[in-house]
Amino acid sequence: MSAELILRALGFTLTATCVSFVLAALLGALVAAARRGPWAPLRWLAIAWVSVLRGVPPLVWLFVAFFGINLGQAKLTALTATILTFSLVGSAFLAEAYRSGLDSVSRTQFEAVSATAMPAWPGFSRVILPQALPVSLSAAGAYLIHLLKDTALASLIGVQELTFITNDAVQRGSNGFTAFLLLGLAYLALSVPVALAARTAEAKLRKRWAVAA
Amino acid sequence: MSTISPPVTALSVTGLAKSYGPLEVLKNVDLDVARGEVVAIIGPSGSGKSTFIRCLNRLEEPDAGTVMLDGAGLAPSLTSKELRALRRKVGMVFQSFNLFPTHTALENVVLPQVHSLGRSRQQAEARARELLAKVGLGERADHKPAQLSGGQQQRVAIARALALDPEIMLFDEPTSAIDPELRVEVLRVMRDVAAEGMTMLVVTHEMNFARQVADRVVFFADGTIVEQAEPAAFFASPQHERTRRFLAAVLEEEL
Ligand SMILES: Nc1ncnc2c1ncn2[C@@H]1O[C@H](COP(=O)(O)OP(=O)(O)OP(=O)(O)O)[C@@H](O)[C@H]1O
Ligand SMILES: [Mg+2]
Repeated sequence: MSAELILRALGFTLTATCVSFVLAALLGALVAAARRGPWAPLRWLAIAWVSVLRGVPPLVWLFVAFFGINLGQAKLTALTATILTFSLVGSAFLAEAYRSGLDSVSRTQFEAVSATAMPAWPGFSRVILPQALPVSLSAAGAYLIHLLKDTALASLIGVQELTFITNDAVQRGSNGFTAFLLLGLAYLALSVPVALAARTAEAKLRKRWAVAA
Repeated sequence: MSTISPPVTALSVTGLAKSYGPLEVLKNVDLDVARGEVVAIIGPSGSGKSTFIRCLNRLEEPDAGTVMLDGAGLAPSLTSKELRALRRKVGMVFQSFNLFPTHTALENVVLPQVHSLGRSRQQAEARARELLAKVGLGERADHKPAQLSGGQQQRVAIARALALDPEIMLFDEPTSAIDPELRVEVLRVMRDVAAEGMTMLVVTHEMNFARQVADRVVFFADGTIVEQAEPAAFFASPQHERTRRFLAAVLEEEL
């Protein structure tokens, strides 16, 4: 296996993970807003969105996106299908992460914002968000690691990411045990720093927005 | 109150009603409050006192009735802009303080001024320091709520409400969640605010405060005002059996 091949595979894994995560984070915010918004149909839609996307294995969605959408006119590349799938599935998980954060903020804080006549955005960003975000962030960090590992599924539709090239090498005669052990180590080498970074970010936020000192 | 001119009505409530499902929490409540008047609202638990004052700044939406502020009626249902205008005029102090926990005392008093009134940070900070000094917490401006005692937090909350220069202040059992020995400082601040002519509606279990500071005591039971009078008369000769029973229970507890 050439170094170039491995780097390219690493690139696919990281691209699928990072791009999906960013899109999921943005879309998830919209879903969470809809979920807590005043408009009932939107709330139901948000609930349905979360339940449906989380209630089906991501592999199935991946196949739907890749094989299903490929039948029509517009052809999705395997990588696009992967990113599309994980952005949508991720938006459901991250919407729940945001929701758990918002739910952790006492109703009385929302009342205090109202009673002091603060407009919605400053009230949210200056008062509610600092209390919600550390909680959301630990759930989101956990999901990011989950997502990193889930991108291995993309090997099944032919994205030449880390799992694909490892499997490929084994099919061509490499020692399976060593190869997959190395693959496992590679995922660990990626996920451990992510976990650390998430924890550091959370700690920083908690410090910046500490309730004491 | 030391005015000689006829009292100006600050707040006029007529026929206020509110139900939660089948539970009628407020039944046709009428109340007029003069500018600068201090009204103590007392009554048994569940009688609708909190609901009543929360209807005044629309943390709850009443089902029926009218509320007039300074002679101007409020629509039954307000836009968010109108709600904010109302809440700038009618400040509220909660039983559980409800300070913003991630912000310092100073910042708690600054934020609403900046975002609700559009004051500059500098102006807001100057006013916040002045108010914190006034409530006896000039030295504690940089403390977060968790580092303050309940009594101190409540004084910050009063400063936060005063910072918007409201016309009326609502207090919902402001000392109930505070250790008895720390209540005096909060009550002293409330007395000062009253002495400066603020119109106040105070839901309270502090009979001494009602007796000494209020201009009028209003007794709530079962969602209506059963009886109201100036404190001396109210405590000396309650007219209704329900009031007498309540006072007997409360005053006994106080002994
Ligand atoms: N959001 C709500 N939903 C349903 N019932 C409510 C709600 N808020 C209050 N109630 C009920 O309305 C009644 C009046 O409540 P309220 O809080 O106004 O009483 P209170 O006089 O302030 O009592 P306390 O002295 O205990 O604070 C109570 O029976 C209460 O359980
Ligand atoms: Mg109450």
